[in-house]
Amino acid sequence: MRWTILILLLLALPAVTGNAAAQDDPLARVRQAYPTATGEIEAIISDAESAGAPADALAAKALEGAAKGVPAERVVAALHQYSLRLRESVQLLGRERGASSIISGADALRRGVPAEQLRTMAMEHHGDLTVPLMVMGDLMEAGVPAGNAYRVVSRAMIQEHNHEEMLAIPGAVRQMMRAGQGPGPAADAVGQAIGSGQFHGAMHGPPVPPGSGPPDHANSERGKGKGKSSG
Amino acid sequence: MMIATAMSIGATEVAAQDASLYVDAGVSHARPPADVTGDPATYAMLGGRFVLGPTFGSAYGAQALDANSADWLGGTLGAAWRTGGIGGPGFGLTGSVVAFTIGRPTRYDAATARLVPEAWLPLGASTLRLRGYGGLGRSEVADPDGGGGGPPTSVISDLWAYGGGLELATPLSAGLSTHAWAGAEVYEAADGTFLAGYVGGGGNLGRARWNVRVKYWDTPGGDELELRATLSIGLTRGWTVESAAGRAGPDPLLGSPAGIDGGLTLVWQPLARPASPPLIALQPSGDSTTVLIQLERDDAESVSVMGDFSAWEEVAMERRDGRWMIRLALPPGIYHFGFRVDGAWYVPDDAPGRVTDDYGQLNATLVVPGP
Repeated sequence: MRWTILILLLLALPAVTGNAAAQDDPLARVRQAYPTATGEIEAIISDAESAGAPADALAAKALEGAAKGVPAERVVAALHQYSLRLRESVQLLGRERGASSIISGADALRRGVPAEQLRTMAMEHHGDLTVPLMVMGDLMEAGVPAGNAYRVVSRAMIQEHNHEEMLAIPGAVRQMMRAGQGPGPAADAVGQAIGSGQFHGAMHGPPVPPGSGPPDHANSERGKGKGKSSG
Repeated sequence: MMIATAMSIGATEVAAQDASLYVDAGVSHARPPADVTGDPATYAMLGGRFVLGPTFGSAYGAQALDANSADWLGGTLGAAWRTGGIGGPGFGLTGSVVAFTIGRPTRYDAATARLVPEAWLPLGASTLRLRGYGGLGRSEVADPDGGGGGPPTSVISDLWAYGGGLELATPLSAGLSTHAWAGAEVYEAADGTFLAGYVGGGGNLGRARWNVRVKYWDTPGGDELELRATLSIGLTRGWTVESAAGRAGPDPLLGSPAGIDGGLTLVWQPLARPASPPLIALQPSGDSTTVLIQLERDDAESVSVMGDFSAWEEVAMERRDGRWMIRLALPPGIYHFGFRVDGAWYVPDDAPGRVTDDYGQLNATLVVPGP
């Protein structure tokens, strides 16, 4: 009996170690999830990688499909479309921009940010564009026109607003919109606050005109003005 | 001026909401200018301010605390409109009416209407602002004793002033959230010509917000120096304490003189909404970052998160204090993710980076910044 159990354990060992290896290798997990579509999926990933697109993003997209119960043919179609967007993002932003920026650029294109805005942002700003592109997408999703959205984000980048403050911009715009402003004017208002150095992650109320209260000293003899007397 | 200061602090301190309401209670002490005969005055103040979309207003009352002080009541109602300002000029217009009445020993009533048009132009990170000013009003000073034993007297004055100014504002350090400004103003008023030049600065220090201003006035009555320092500290949700001290400047329309004053005000925002925890909070920790994800779904029996960071495997979240939470240690990068709430895919409406997943559903996006 003991030998039977031992033999069965030895026979099961490759399956166990094989599964453990698959956990560490996303492509191995993709092969497990979609054994009949493995060839197509690997070809898409390989072609995209040679064009400078991050392969891990495509492998993750396939795993996402598996987790969400998506059939193989839909996953292949989705990977094809995603690969095209990633390649376009590489062309617009440049290969040296980094995987996060490339992925964020592909997401921005998916969300309707015009390709021209990505190209302009890449030309006008150096470094990581991950968060600015995400904020552009959030603003446009809120209804802000592309030009207004770009100006707000660009201004924040010029002023070197940090990660948190950049991510707070869409919330501030939505706040202004709930107060009755249109998307474009709301974005302009946030941009104006950014420009005047008064945006710290939240918007403020309207300014107060001078002299909105009583005089500082009520019993002074000065300041009575010129006029007629009566009584 | 104290009210104007308190209001300007409130307007610049607290984030705008659909409707904001502030209740202020404080004490203030004022001294007359050095060349004016008069006694110091101390009073306790209670009032409120509101901001509703483009409109704003206030109402205040003060109780004299010594024989030299006078009770007063005052209020403001106004509206502001702004447009443009990005990549080009911006324009704005603010209008307001102010009225107040000051009691014994000499009753002083005044009502004014003011219009402030503005135009501003971004210059890189700085902003150049051109501001106009026009005001009309009427005041009445009534002495029931006619200056001591005589018949009652009343002096009615027609008030007017117009003018404008130029200001340059610039951020000093985005990290410290500090900015500075400098400007000049000129007014022509019933009392004569007023000229002013000023510099100032403001910013955040932790939970506090500070503001200082130095303004030199050349007035028909002589030179005046206006100094103002204010400090506002958030105590807890909906509560702020504000302090201000300095030497107030004149008001060209009201003709009110400068005088030393200071005050302490407790501000309560009864409409302040409980702050929802952020969906994502980042805590840098060496080469990786601890990411705290919190989801408010009281109605859920089970919540899990999954995304690029978990190779799209579901990771159960823990329920604590009415929220579902999980901590993850993640290297820098961009991660798409979402939640399964009782088995159904869910992404909050205000989640950052909502993007369709190419499978007909939405994902949120988490960015962990690099060093």
